[in-house]
Amino acid sequence: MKKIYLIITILFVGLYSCKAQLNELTQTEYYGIKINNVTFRSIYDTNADLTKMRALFGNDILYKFENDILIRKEFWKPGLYYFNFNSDMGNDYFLTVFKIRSSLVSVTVKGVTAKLGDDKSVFANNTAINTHVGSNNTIAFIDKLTGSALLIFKIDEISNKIIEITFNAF
Amino acid sequence: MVGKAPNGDLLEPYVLKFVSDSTHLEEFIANDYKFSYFRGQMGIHKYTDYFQTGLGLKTEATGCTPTYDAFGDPIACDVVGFSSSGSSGGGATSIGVSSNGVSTTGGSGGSSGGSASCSWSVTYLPCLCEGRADGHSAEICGCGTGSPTVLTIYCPPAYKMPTANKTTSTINPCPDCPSGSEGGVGVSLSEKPPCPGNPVPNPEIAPQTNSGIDGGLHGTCTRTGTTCNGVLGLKVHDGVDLKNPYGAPIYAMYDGIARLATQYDDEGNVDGAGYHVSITSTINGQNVRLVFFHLQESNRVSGEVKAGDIIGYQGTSGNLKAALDQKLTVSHVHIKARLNGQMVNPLNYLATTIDPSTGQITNPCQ
Repeated sequence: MKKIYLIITILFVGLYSCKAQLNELTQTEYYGIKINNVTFRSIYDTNADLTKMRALFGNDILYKFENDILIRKEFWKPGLYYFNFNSDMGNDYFLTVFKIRSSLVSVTVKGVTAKLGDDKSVFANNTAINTHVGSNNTIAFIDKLTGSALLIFKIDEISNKIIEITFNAF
Repeated sequence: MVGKAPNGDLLEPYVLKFVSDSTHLEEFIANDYKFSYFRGQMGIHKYTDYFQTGLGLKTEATGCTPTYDAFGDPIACDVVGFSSSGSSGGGATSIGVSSNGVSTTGGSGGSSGGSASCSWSVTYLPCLCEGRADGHSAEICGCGTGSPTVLTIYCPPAYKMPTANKTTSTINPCPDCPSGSEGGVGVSLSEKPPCPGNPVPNPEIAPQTNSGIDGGLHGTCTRTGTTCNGVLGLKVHDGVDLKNPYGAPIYAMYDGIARLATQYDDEGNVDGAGYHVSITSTINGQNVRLVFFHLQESNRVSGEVKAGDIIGYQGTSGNLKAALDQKLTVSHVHIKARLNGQMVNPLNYLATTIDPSTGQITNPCQ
């Protein structure tokens, strides 16, 4: 009987460890994500309009529009950050990618503000961490409503520093 | 030579190049670049490094590796030749098209010709010198010695690259896999090809962790956005996700013209839609574009394809990798369809029928 309990325990532990550990965000938390002091809500509300993005990030933000197989708009400041919006018909644009490239830019999620180079300890102790994703650990936040938008902090396994901050919606 | 065909498709990038010896070049120039005086060779050249987007070289758009000659000029990876013929001078143009042995001569005031792949025409424009604001003299712009001339070469979407240069000439079934895992995880290279009209064998919807099968279907409010069918915080999923193991081939569903594309960021990294292949076909008299996303970079096919041809191999490119890393979905090819420019359900074009409520598939063949 003890053996059966042991096997069941091992199976549960195994299944649990296989499942990705994600930090779920409510709608309020998701749209409350900030890049510096700009909220996700305000970024979504721009609908990738250049004038509105400039109002949020400054007139020096660079812009590129593509209307080919993909319809998309890109905005970036070299060495600082990058945004990509995609559109199916050229009317409604949705944020699909952002990348942070400098420790001068902070990202706030669930009340925690983090930037490249910070120690992972900036996050609360109960924050879920995925170990060994590729060659690193990750702290991933996901939109609970859909499970299709991920904010990922990649953590160096040795130094425990944040080495990459990216967002992907798919 | 980059532009839109009459049906709206973007043409592949080519450069029109003229080569002439100095004597005939001088004659050509002396006659105000009038093509009736051109003696030499004309070719449409497919280069790599002439076409860049951001920091990403469009190597995949041309399917050839950038190489340079001794002068630092890019060497064409594909050339379709046109050579001149006919007598020099005179009002009538005489340009032969020799790429496939066809030679055509034009008539006075303009001419045209063509081959199985490309057509050309020469048009004499009316003199435009009078009233020009840029101050060019009549001699420079051609008035007085002959009308300005326009040469137009049009290669329709059906243009087929020479076989020797087709990117399908060498196929490695699993170029990105670690050694010893030929074909990718769970992929048998001896697997039967799909039923005609399907992109993968036994197409099944790839479920999302949160939304299940709905998340892989077209037209469902299963993605994060602003609003979808009146529900805040959602957006529609345009396209379908069909299960396909890493490294498995993806097949053309219809005859058509394939183009390669990649979503790059500002630093040339691949993200978003990843490496993809677009195939434009005429189906029941309508223009349909099917696009296949998240492929491997290598061995994607461009140019003319036939239904059942392998057009690429399943990868994890773009945002699929993050979704797989976080176990939010399974390996799949994302397919979008446009009918006359409008988004439509790609399942409409599959040979297999998929019940959207159950995911049950009915294959037309065994």
